[in-house]
Amino acid sequence: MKILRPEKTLKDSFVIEPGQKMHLVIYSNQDTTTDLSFKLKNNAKISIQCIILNSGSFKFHFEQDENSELVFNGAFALRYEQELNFGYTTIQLGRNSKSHFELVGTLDDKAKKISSETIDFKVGATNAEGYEAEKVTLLSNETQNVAKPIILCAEENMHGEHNFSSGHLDPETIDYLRARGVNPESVKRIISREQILRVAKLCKNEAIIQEIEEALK
Amino acid sequence: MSYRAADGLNKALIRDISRRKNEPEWMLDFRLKCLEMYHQIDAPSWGPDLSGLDIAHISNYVQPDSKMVSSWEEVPVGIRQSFEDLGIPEAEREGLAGVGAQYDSELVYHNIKQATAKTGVVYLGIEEALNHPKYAEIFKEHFMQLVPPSDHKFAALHGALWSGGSFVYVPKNTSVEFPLQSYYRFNAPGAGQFEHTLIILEEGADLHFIEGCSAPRYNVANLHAGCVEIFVGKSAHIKYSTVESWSKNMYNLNTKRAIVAEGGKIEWVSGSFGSRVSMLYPMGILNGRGAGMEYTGVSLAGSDQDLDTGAKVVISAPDCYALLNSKSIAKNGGKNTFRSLVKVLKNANNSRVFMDCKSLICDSQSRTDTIPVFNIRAKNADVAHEASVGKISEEQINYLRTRGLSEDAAKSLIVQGFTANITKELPVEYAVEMNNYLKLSMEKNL
Repeated sequence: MKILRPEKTLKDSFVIEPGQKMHLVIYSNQDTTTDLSFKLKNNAKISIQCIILNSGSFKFHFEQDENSELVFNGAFALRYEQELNFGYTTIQLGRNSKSHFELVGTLDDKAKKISSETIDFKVGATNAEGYEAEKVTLLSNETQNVAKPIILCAEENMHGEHNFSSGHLDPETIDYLRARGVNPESVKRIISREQILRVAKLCKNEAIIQEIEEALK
Repeated sequence: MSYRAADGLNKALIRDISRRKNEPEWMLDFRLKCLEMYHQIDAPSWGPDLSGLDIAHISNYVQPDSKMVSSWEEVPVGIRQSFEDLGIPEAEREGLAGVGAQYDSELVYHNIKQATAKTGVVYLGIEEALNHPKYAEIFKEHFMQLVPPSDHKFAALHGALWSGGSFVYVPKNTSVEFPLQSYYRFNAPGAGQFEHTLIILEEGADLHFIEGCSAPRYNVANLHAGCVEIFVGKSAHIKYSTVESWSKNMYNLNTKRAIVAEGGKIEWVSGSFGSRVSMLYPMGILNGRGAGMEYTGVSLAGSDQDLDTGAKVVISAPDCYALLNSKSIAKNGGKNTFRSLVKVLKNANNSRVFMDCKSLICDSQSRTDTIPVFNIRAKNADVAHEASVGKISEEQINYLRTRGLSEDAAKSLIVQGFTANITKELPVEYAVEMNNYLKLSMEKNL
């Protein structure tokens, strides 16, 4: 497992050789510009967890050859006037390539998020599958949530899917927590925290989970 | 005598169109300003390739050899036959409250049934409304207010060249029992059609408006840059159905927009089958509490077609809702793009939007893209979107083949099932026509 803590600027590219696996954790708690590109060769696999707790620009670019697999789980919690610019593109070139992308997050105060997620199925990506989902909870009326989830498809035999939702806190959850003495402000924090930790726990590294938990306090 | 303006676009042409229509001075000034805007605004930097469209080689005004009349017998035989072939007079007799028929740049027939007219419903040729003693002011108040010419290059072009179209006014609490229908027939090769439809529904009014369009195929580019503006009053409702089967040399760059007041509702039903290029995104501005929009669209792109369609909704009031449902099919090298915009402004609390978009791609020469954009600023609004793209299921094809269907017939049946929730929104005769078109298109590779 590789852990990246981008500082001001991080630009890098990775090639995952045939049959190899990569596990990457990206944790950002400061304003940063991150631009990462990945080439997944035949049968290569990559799993990424990306936790964002501050402003920043994040661009992820993937190219997938035959039988490659990409799993991306991202979570963000933004408040004050923080602004996140998030871009994800996967170009599925090879047969049986698979991509799975999920991004969850909360926006509070005057925070703003702009995201663009693209699955691009090229001719020859037979039996490829691509999935992208984004779920954002707005905690204030001053936030802005902009999303552009795109599927481009030039191959007949594939399956692509995307889901997007933007909404407020589920009233049942709020009522449940309130009935247990949690005040409305704390409800917001609990929801943000749970979303972040759910993704953080996927990395199965106690040290980084603890560090993120500390930051969330 | 019919008249065809020389190819190209210039002030002399604008003055000539205005003079032929006996327009008031303000309209000529408006057209000339639009012409200036057209030259200043760039063509869209996104979307389909428009390089085959050269306005210098388009005749932008073609007057048929007929005046507008309200009896089919008075329409010249050749023109009447085109509409007979399309079944328009028959449809009028059987179940429409009124019909407008346009041939190239001008209306040749416009009529409303007496029973409907008696309820106070007004259905006029748009030029009639412009010069009408009672409706000229209403026309001026609303014309190109919802789609300002500065909106985009082809809205400006429309403002400069508009000709023909319909004006509809439905008074308070009046429900129009049968649909009104405007049909646009485009016969001239290498020409442009720029009709304008202006519909005003007062509080509690209800209307179903049907728009149909067709043209024979030529080997030169034709341009259609029409405009539809709909003002939906408090608690009023309109269903606007379009079946577009332009020929495959057509650049269809149409703009449709509705503004909906408190408790009102706009339903867009849209079938896009023809055109070489289409850029069409009906839009609803939900401006009053509890206003609603539904969009139901189907699009089939075959060889040499690039259909870029979808919908837009802007919600600026609380408790509003929008449901968008799109189905598209790309085959034989056709390109289909679903493009949408959902904008939920700050004060649109408790509003809900759901968008479902499904695409089928039938071969590896074709292409299908889904490009939605969301901009959400209201905390208590729920917006959800689902999209999927895939091929026709082998399992379904095999199942149907075991029941004796050929592969093409099986595919055709599956496609008809795929679009069934859209066809059921259309009037029966259009649904039948659409299913026949889908069947022929899938089985005969039209």
